[in-house]
Amino acid sequence: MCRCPVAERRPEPRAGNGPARRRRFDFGSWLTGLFFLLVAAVFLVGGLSDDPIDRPQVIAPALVVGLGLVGIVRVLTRSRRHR
Amino acid sequence: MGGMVEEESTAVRRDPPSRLARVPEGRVLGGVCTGLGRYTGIDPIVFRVGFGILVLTQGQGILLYIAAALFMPAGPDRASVAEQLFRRRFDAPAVLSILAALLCGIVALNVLGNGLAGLLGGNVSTGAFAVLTVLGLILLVAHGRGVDLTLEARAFPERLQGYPLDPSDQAEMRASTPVSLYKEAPSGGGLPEGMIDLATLSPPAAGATAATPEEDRTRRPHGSRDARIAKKRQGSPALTSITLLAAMAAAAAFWPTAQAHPAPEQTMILLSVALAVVGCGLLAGGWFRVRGLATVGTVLTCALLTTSVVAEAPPDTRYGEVEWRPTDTAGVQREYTMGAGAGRLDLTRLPLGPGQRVAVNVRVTVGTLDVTLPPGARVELDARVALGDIQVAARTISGPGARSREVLEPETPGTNNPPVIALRIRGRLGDVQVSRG
Repeated sequence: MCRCPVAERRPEPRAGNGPARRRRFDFGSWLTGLFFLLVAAVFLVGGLSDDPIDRPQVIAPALVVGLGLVGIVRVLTRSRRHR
Repeated sequence: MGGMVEEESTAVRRDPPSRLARVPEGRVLGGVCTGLGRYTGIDPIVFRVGFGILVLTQGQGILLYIAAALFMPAGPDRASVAEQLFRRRFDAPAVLSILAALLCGIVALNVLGNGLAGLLGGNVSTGAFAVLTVLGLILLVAHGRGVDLTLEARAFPERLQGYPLDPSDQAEMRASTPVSLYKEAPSGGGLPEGMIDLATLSPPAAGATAATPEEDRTRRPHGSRDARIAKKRQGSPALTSITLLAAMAAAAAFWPTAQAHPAPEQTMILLSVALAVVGCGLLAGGWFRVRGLATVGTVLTCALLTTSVVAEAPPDTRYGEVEWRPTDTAGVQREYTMGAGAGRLDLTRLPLGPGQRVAVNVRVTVGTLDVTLPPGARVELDARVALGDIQVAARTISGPGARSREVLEPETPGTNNPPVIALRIRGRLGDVQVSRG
């Protein structure tokens, strides 16, 4: 029996006598979190040092590309997440 | 048929839409805050503080309170003034949605009133900031309590339609109306002689039974929408709420640190901290279920990007309607920068001696610029606009990449040694007009 505080970790009863199901690792969510942490670090350093890390002309396309990639990964892993 | 209608009506009455009513117990004014407190489970004092802030800032709280009093009935089984007026019944989510929409409208008007320029430049007035803060807190608390804001926004037009009034409400309205315009249907189903009851011509299909309350709810669009909202609320994971609250707490904890920095960087620091916490929540989302954090992170990222763009602008950038009228040559030797809006640079009052040379630089990001030159000065014009027009006297150079490099001789005849103005204009998007005063 799992002792995790969140209910989703608990084995969910299934119809019939099939084996209990566990929640699978969500790579999309994990990658999104990593991306946002990176973005936060970049902007936090820029804000604290009063000196922007890079020009918006560079960082804006980078952010949009990053968000797009993360979104694609989330879409691709959606079926795995909802299974 | 009549029995079925009666059964359906009983079913609807048994499962009525939730009501947001005023509560007279413990009220200070009309019982709006006590009613909101009882429905949401939040202390009414919180609502009183919110209304108080909105009243004290620019008085919009009064409008909001009156609207709430009009839409909230005096009791759960009574009809509100608005319900009597529109002859529709508004359930609690509908009233809350209407109040939220009103608050959003107030915020939009406030921001527009203060000028988007002030917001972009970080010079938000205290009133606008207070209203924005109240709205932000409401949205965060609502989201933290499992309200799907996107779904609520989509359901708003449907909610605004309300429900048909119950017969009991109609009876109440009849009682409260001085002159009754209602007429009871003849009892016993009797119609005047020679008339046909059209309802009896379309009997229910064979096998059709009276709708159960559940079936009735799923058939109605409101019911299906409510069911979806309820399903969404039921599945709201705890980690999402914890992450959002932690993000707010972390941003608040960094507030003293951010205070030591100028305005755009302040916002950047607070947003970054909140984004970092959201990122941590999503990392944990690899193992535990979360929902909506990716959206929050995307919004925060966009806000950070906007802040960084604003921070890139020179410190003396002006927004909105700007007018410069330099009166001394020492003050004119600087760069006039306009972020967005309509600028006017009047150089006619510049005291220029014969042969004197001054350099004037103007930079426009978005908007129009009107430069007025003194008639007795020679002007060495160097103007470039990435996307827009340059108009010099009666001549127009159109973009993209409009460029004008020319010398404008003084209009005053007989000037041997005129003063010279080296005017350099750089624009990105907009029109530039150069003319003599």
